[in-house]
Amino acid sequence: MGRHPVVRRLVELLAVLLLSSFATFMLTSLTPGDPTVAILGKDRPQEQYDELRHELGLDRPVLEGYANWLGDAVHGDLGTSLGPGRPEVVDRVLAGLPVSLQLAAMALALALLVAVPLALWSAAHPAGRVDRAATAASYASISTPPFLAALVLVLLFVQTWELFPRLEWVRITSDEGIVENLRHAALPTVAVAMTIFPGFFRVLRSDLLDTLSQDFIAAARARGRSPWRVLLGDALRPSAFSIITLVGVQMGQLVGAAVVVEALFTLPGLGTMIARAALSGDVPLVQGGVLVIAVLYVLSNAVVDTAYAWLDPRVRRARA
Amino acid sequence: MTVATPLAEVPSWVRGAVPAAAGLVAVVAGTAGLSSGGAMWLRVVLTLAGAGVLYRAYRALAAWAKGPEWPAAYWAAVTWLGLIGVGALVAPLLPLGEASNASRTLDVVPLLRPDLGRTFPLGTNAYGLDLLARVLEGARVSLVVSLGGVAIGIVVGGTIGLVTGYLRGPVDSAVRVVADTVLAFPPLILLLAVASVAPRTSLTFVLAFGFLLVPINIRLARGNTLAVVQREFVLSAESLGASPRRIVFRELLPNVVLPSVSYGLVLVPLMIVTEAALSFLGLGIPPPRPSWGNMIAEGRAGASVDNPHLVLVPGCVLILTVLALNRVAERLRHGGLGER
Repeated sequence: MGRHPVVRRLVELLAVLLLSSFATFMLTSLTPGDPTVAILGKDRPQEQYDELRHELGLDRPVLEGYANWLGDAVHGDLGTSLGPGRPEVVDRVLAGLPVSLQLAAMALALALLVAVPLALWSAAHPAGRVDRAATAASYASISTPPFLAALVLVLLFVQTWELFPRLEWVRITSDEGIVENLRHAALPTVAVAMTIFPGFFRVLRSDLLDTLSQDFIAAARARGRSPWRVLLGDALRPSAFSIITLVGVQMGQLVGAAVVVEALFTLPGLGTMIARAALSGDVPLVQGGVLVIAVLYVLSNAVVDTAYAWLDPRVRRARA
Repeated sequence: MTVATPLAEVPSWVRGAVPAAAGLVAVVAGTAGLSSGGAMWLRVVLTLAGAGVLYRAYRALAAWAKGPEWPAAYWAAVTWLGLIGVGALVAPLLPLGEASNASRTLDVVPLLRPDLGRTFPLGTNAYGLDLLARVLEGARVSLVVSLGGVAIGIVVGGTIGLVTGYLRGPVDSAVRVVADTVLAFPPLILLLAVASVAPRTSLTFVLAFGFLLVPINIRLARGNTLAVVQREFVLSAESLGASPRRIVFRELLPNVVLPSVSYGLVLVPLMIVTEAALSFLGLGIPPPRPSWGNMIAEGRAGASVDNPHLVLVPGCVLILTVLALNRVAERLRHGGLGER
């Protein structure tokens, strides 16, 4: 392994990617008994079993089968789904990805929009009304599973008051355009944002309180800077690193974590795809979806690591 | 010559007793007094608000009786967890309705609303099954899977982290890469993948949850080991000629086990939520066996606008349990000084 941190990081990244794809490939071997029988059901013609066995790479030694499967995957061939019409897994994944990414991005933005001002206000007035309410809300929100929050949102806003369209999805690129798209995305976005808001709020609040107790803040205040300029101009930037890390971690995880919300609102995203494929035993589709999500997560983590070093000079110097 | 504010003259126990009475009235009225029909959501709001007021009253009364330092929220959480735990244990012995066999409830009125004074205090579902019995039966699933998974995660992950953290070297690097790999899968996705191929029994999920929690426990135990190894007592044991095994189990283990267990307490509610999400997607323990997740899913499927209790009963139990676990975990982590 190379000495240079970037090289070492790359080698590690590659190892994680290889291992996670191997784990995905080995998913079929978790099936009790003959996986092809488990997938197709009993009493099919022998050719169908053989064909599937070949497709899943089970008719060769494990490593050879894996190498083949991985080679195909790198070339953008994730096999064919077992579902009706036998669509290409890649096509299904590419159809679901934009929906999942849009949901993740909007939820992230919403959570930040709510958490940052609240954290600022709470840190400026600790133990005040807003602080106590926001802290309580973040507790409640951590303890509420996302699907339950989503369910209550649907019950209230869709079924009882009929303020929002019932589930489903309208793509931005469709004729109805961006307004309809946003109307359909609103509730799922709120449901996902509720789950990530507490982390953002608590991390930024406690970092801000930490920074505000330091000498340079007291000095700034003594010079007569207004409280808001101290807060926004002096305290916010040095307090932002943890929340930036957290945003990065969430970016990678959200696509996977939003599965339940996606399924509940029947959005045609990756999560719904994987959940349905898992229910019907469509292993190639599960494998394709899992692989894409794992790769997304690993890559976004690597990007965040790099960005972090670039943002914070201390990290750069410590590593060099 | 100051005019005292009226509030200051009220004895503090009154400030607790009045809302207590009000809350009780609201809860009873919400679950029983108002007839069904259009007032459904009013009943729900009334019940929930009443419960909230009751809790505030409890806080006020506790502060009056035991002093403001007494951790009222913590004891409320412990009581709730005790109720759920004991209830889950002795559920088969209790005189409850039928929990999962719909063929035995043909004579029971289906879709009864919760009414604390009746035979079915939490109501019945579409098949006439008793929601209270189902909630307790579901607690068994949730508790077995989450506690079992966390236990496996702590024992296996903790041991690996402890040993590799002490030995270091190439094995340590390899273990770290493997652990990072498992962490690269969003937990729910991994569980979905497992559920798509493996038989969906409690044992499968205990093992899957355990597997899922091993890497994070490896990280934690390894980090703590690295910190403890540098302390003087380890050095002195080494220079006295203690064997590596003795150092790992007698010197390091007692110092590493505590943070691992206290982190495990945080993991339990997370696992409960994850199990519920999995069951909600229809990929957890299959019905008719109840779990909190599949109860919520069932309530969502059957006309939930008219019968929100099908969702709200298991939902509230789930939320309260998770809240209580978080509260207890936080207090224990802060060495008993956590009360804000």
